[in-house]
Order: sequence, then structure tokens, then C-alpha cells
Amino acid sequence: MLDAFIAVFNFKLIIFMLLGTIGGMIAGALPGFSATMAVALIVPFTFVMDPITGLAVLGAIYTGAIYGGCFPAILVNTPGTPSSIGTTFDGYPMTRNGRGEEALHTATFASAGGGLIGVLVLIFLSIPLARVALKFGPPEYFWLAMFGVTIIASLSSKSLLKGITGGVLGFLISMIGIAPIGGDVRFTMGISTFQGGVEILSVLIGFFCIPEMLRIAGEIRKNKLADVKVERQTGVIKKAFLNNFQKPVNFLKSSIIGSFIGVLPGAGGNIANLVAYSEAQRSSSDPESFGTGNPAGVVATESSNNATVGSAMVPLLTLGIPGSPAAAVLYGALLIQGLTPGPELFTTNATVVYGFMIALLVAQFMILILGLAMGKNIYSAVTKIPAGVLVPSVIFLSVLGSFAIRNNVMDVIVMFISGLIAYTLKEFGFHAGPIVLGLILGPIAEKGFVQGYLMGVASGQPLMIFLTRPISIILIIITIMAVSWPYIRMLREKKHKGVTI
Amino acid sequence: MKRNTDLYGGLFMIFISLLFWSKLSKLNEYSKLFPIIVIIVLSILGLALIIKSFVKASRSELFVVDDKKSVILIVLVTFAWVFLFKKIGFAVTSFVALTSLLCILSDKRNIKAYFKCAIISAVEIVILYMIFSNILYVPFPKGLLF
Repeated sequence: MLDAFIAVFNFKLIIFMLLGTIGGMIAGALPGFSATMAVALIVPFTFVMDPITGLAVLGAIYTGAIYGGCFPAILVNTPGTPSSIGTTFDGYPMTRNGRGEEALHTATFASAGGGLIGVLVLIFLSIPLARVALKFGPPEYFWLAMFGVTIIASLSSKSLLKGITGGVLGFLISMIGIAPIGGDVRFTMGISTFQGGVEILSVLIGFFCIPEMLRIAGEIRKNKLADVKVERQTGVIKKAFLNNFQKPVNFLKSSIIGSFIGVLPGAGGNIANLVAYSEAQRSSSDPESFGTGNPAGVVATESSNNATVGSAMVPLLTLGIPGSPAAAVLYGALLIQGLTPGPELFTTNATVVYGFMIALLVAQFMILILGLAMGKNIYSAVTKIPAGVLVPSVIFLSVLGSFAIRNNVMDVIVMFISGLIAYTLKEFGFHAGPIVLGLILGPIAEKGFVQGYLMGVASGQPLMIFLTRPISIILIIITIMAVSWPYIRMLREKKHKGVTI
Repeated sequence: MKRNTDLYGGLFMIFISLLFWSKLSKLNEYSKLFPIIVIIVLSILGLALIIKSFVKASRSELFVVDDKKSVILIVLVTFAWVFLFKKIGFAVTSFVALTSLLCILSDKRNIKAYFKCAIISAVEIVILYMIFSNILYVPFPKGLLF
């Protein structure tokens, strides 16, 4: 742990993190530019950094981007990222009431505080969970991969059928290359570069950046961000602080909701902010004031979405299961640094893991200081970036980044074709999240399945091994619950509507 | 016109399943054990989507954008860029492609605006080329030109 502290608190790393946080805040403030895209585009720049610096920079960008989404949400009623949708409900009315600066600072305190709680959850939950994960054998890893894909399919897609289909398609793409058990070269379509498998980061950059850039390009005339003049208020920092911590129940409850949702694979800030907002409104003594400029609404959404940043790393670091699209990109970044996410990481590369956690803590203080000092100026700067320059620049960075991974032109072609496939599939209702998670979890699922099958063959019952071990049974039950949840929710909503009518 | 997205999605999945199935024959038992299961599951899901498309189809308009021409041009320019930069050279293709993308999305259509696009493109390429070659040590293909 001491080594990790020493590694993080050096001048160069802090400067890189500051730049990363500012870059993340700018990216988050750009509507259509998600936190995942920001992280994916910067991964190639971290290759030459040591693992702690590289991960710290990516963590800072992610934290900054989730926070930065609140600027346009509060100032122009347009969420910068899906994690800030709920912030528009009360943040924008506050701006219209001349309290925009107070709303921005309230969001800053809430984001930093919520983020801090999320990282503490990561620190205190990941070590015991990693110990449990060490007991996992191949069948458990197989079911864990199934759970990861089904829950992201049920949460991120409107249609569960399309979500699961996307996840299975991701599994199939992951099988291109050498079989992990069996050793044959498979499905390369005669392309020699594919023998080592499809480069995950190229696919991630293509899936997350290209469709969004094409969408923005197609609506470029509508994508002009309005600049707003934020009225100056006196004693605003004190007011913002009190909005959060005078009655801290709302802040604490929302941060805990965000932390819990973040730990679930597949669920992230986009769900947490709405759940926390609805809970804050439900438990408020003055629920009618929500939606008219109540700072408690901003506190709820911003503390919960930033709490997911740290807690989303729990399944990634302990189980090797990326819990969100941004965590999937970090998974790729870890692989490139030669690190395999999973419980062994805590023993083989403890300094890197703890260093990453400490860096995430530092990032929360950075968004607090930078947010209070220059939050509204960052938004003002963002409004001056024309979409006509942004789109070509992001495409250029995507080309450069995917080439830099292995200095291979085929990775650039894979990136662009993946982007076009993702754009087309999105039109058909298939979201990138399940496909990408399937791509990452495919090898884990296959290795778990084939090794488990061989263990079963040795004991005379090839498939029973998947259904009889206690941890497997628990994972099967929660997988079934993940699949059934949308239907249960739909039935409950129908029943509720029926009662109302 | 609203299209049946379930039908298109289902057909795409069946096509992918058949494509991968056709490559299974030469693999050994353990290399094809999991792919067989995944291909079968994907085909079933594809079929389920096709059946759903006849029973309760999801319909939506496809590729609805205000400026279709720009999107098509961007795709074509980027396509040429990624396929040609090894042969012609990274710097030259990137300059031409990036300038073209900036011009396609530019508000104004006059010589001054195009010149501005070329300047932005040159500055971006020089900065990123320097970062990638001198700090990240990425050797870009020089090709026929540069």
C-alpha cells in the first residue's frame, strides 16, 4: 500500500491526472461524447506510460467525464452524458431561477463526495470479494460470464431478446483466432492478423466512437451548443456545501444507491441517477418542489452517478468482469499493460491495483477543486468547439489510436468496419454494450465451459458439474433473476397501471 | 417508411451463424465444442427474432438523419483513408482525408473556408504525428509519398 502511495504522489503523475480530469470534464460536457468514448480514445496514449500512470490517467478522465456531464444538463437542459439525465430535472430550473452557479457548485460537491464514497466501496469491498473469487473454478467462471452478459442485456437494451442476441454475437466474434483449449486457428476468414484474435481495443473504439460521430455528423445543424451567461451569486460555495451536507441523509443515501448499482455488472450511472432521484423525491417532505429547482434533486443525481465510477471497478478488478462499457475499455487497457484483471491481480500486481484505487480517490479531489475553480468556464470553452471540427478530429484520433495499438493497418480497418457494423446494428435495435461485453467475456466463458466439461468427463457426468456446485447454483439463480427482471418489472407496471385506471 | 427491424436483425444473425458454421468442419473436438453451442444459440435467437417479426414486430425508420449526404461522404472518405494510408503514406492520406472531412462538415462553402480546413488539418496532423512518433514511438507507414 505504501508503495502505491509513493507511486501515485509524484509530480508527473499528478500533472497527467490534472490534464486527464480537465480533458474528461470537457468530453463529458459535450453532448453525444460519452465517458466511454473519452476513455477509449485516450487508451492508446497510455501505452508508453507505466501501468499506474496509465490507469490513473484513464480513471481521471472517466471521473471527469461523468462529472462534466452535469454542465450542459444544468445550464442548457441537455445532459452531457446519460448519467446526468436526472440532473436536468432540477439543475436547469435552478439556472432559470438565476441559481445556475449554485447548481453547478452543488453538483461539484455532490459529485466529489459521491465519487469518494464509491471509491471507498471499491477499496473495502474488493479485497473480500477477491478472496471469494479465488475459490471460483471453471464452472463458476462460465456462469459468471453468463451472468455478466445477461444482466447487461437486460439493463442496456429495450428488448431483452436483442440484448441477449447481441451478447451471443459478441461471444462468437471473440472466438476468432486460436482456440484457448484445443489450439486450432478458427474463423480467421484467411486473414493472418486474426490468428491472434480480433484486437479488442480496435473493436471498442469502433463500436463506441464511429456510430456516435456519424450520428452527430448527420445532425450537425442541430448540434450547436448554446452558450449561457451564468448569473453571479454571493456566498454560493457555502450555499452549495450546505445543500449537500446540512441534511446529509439525501447525499449519503444517493451515494450508497450509486455505489450499489455500480457494483452490479451492466448497471451504471445512467440507471443510478434516475433511481437516486426518484428515491430522493419519494422520501422528501416536499416532493412537489422536485422538478422546479430543488437542489436536493441535483445532489441525488450527481452523488449517485459519480459513486458508480469507483464501485463499477469492483467486478472488473476482483472477478475480471467489466461492469460497464467504460470498465470494458479499462479491461482492454489493463490487458495492454500486460495485466489480467481478476483476483490474482491483488497478489501479483498489488501496487498497481492499490495505486489505481488511490488515484481514483485523488481524482475526486481534483474534480472538486477544478469544478469549483473553473466549472462554468469549461462549459463556456466547450460551446466554442464546432461539431464540424470535433467529428473529423475524433475520427482521426480513432484511426491513430487503433493503429498505435499494434502498429497494424488491419486493426484500423477492423475499427472502422466494427464502427459501421455497430452503426447498422444500432439502427436494428442492438446496442453496443452487450456485444462488447460478450466479446470480452467470450474467452472466459469458453475456457470455463471447456475446462468444466473436461472436469465433468473425468467424473463421469460431463454437464452435471455446471449445476451442482454451490457457487454455480447461486450464479444460476441470479442469472435467471437478471433475465426475468424486465418481465417482472413490466408485469408490475401493468398491474400498477391497471389499479390506477 | 418504418421497417421491420426484428426481421433484419434476425436475418443478420442467421447469416453470421451460417458463415461461422461453415468453418467448423476442420476443427478438433475441443476447439469447436463451445463455438457449436454458441452458433446454435445464435441461430435460435435469430429465428426467434424472425418469428417475432411476424407476430409482434418492432418497426422504426432506418438511418434517419438530416444530412444523409454528409454521412455517406464521411463513410466513403474514411473508408478510402483506412485502406490507402499504408500504400500512399500516412501523412499525405491523413491530410487529404482530414481536410475533406472538415470541408464536408463546414458551414461555409467558399475558398476561404476550405483553406481554413486545410490549416486546421495540417496543424492537427503535425501535432499528433509528433506526439505519436516522438513520445509514443509509433512508426507510421510512409508508403509511396509520406
